[in-house]
Amino acid sequence: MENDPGLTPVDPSQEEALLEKLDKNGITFFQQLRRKKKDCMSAILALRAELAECEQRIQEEQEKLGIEDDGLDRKAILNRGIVIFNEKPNKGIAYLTEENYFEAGGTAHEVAEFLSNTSDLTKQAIGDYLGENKEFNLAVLDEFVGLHSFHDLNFDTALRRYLWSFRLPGESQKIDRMMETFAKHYCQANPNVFHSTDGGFILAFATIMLNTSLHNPSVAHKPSLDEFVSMNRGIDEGKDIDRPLLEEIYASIAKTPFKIPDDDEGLSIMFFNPAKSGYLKKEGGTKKTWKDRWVVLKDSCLYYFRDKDDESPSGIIPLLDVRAHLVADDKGKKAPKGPGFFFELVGADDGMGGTLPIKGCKTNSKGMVVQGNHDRYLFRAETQHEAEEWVHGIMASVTRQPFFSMRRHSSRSGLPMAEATP
Amino acid sequence: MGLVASNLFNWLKGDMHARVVMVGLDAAGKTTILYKLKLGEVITTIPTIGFNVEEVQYKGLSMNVWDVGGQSKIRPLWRHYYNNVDAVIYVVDSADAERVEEAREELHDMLKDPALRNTCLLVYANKQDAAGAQATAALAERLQLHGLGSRQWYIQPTCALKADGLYEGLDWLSRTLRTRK
Repeated sequence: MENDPGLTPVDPSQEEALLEKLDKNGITFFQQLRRKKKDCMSAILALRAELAECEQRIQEEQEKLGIEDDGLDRKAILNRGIVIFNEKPNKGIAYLTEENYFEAGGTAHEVAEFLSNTSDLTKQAIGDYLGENKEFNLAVLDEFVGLHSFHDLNFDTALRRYLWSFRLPGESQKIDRMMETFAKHYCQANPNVFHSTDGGFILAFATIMLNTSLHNPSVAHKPSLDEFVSMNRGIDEGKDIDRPLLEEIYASIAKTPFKIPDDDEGLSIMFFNPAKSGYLKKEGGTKKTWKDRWVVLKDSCLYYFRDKDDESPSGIIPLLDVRAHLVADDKGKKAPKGPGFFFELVGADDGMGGTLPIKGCKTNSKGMVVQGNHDRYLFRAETQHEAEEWVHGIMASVTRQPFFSMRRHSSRSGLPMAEATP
Repeated sequence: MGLVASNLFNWLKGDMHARVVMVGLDAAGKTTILYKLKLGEVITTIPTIGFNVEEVQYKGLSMNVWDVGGQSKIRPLWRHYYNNVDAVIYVVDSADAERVEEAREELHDMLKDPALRNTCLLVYANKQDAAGAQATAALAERLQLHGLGSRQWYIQPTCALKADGLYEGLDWLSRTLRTRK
């Protein structure tokens, strides 16, 4: 504010010099002008204070809801980047780099970590990106393979783990590069398996050929174990690979083909980029026991899973006309030991001093989807801050049904809606 | 009965089966060609992790086409797949003047393999629509196809994205393989 040139006061010495030169009328005029300037100035200052207060309040509200301007932008950039990447992988990375998504400007290592950790990229797109014969893509491939831990894994297991992280393209040159990079890292982690990295590379390539021959329906001739052994003769710097290793690989591939990493767009996309997720303790509906649940807040729904890695939720709570708030204690008999911070989810007021039931559903012990037994849902977070974040997050995603509110509104004869929905 | 009848019909029609390998440098257009040739066929097979392999049917010729390739280190592995191969399809990017030399070397290296001695060679001079694409005669010269001795070869200009020229090439392949068998 101080630096604003428009508001800098006139130098007093100059002002005095100016007054000396003026006649009486001039002085009156000048004084009027000064008064006017002073009035304008205070008006501006008042407006500024008001503006600052507004900004402060906006920020406070955003903090309450757990969103930050910057965070929101980043998330939007990430989402857009993912969508582009899945269509055109190179363009997706270019977009994220241009938008300064990567903190270090998009190094090969950063991009590799992005490919490895971003759950909503399709395995197909990752494979296409890593398969490209461009300098940067090749550097990313190297970093990407380096993110896998192959130490003490047998060859077949390591290869399976690797091939699960992206969809292997079908072009021989791409497979060539991807297997060579795999062998480099596998041999670094397990220096005593092969005489040379090339031995590991050629065997990895031969294993892909074997998988193709044994399992691709377009291939008529299915090679025998002996053929597989013979084809790998002398590939390790002129030396043979130990027969037991070849037998193990052959048996494993014959029994179980390399699994195709599925781009299951069904459920996983539903839980893509949640507003909030984390472990909470949840009180049971019928039995008031406490269980750890992985809870996901997304699209006006609260989902809970038995475990973070579960594909489908064990319960779904639509956030329709519900309220969440912190509760001082759990009120339950079988409360978990140790400190905890509780919050509950209750239905809308029924207009008669009670609350309406929550229309949640859950999967019962027989795997059937049934209506939940909750009038309220009680959760326990580890920290006060966590509990508050959940409450703010939930309240920000609650959907209001206008008809519902209207009915309630009219039945309560003109009580302001704000009271029912804090 | 039905099987006998269909076998007889195939025999009358002259159905034949051929093993074909498809080779070419990176980005020459092999995958595009393979899947353009498969166009119109209903694909019901479960995808498999591994190399692109397709069964291509054309005018009574049934071809099992493998995308084989990669650096020289893994060439000994492919040798095991060269047995009983009838034809090699070599795909070259006609517009990539810088890599024609590399393409020539790879082609001649591969054809040295004894298992491929009696194969015929179909060269797809691909990306004919691209700027700077060389004509087939010039490419044949630079790939030294005339130095292949008694091997039967044919160079076909193609534009794989539009499927131009692909079937003309297969016509030659089909005719050539028939007269040999």
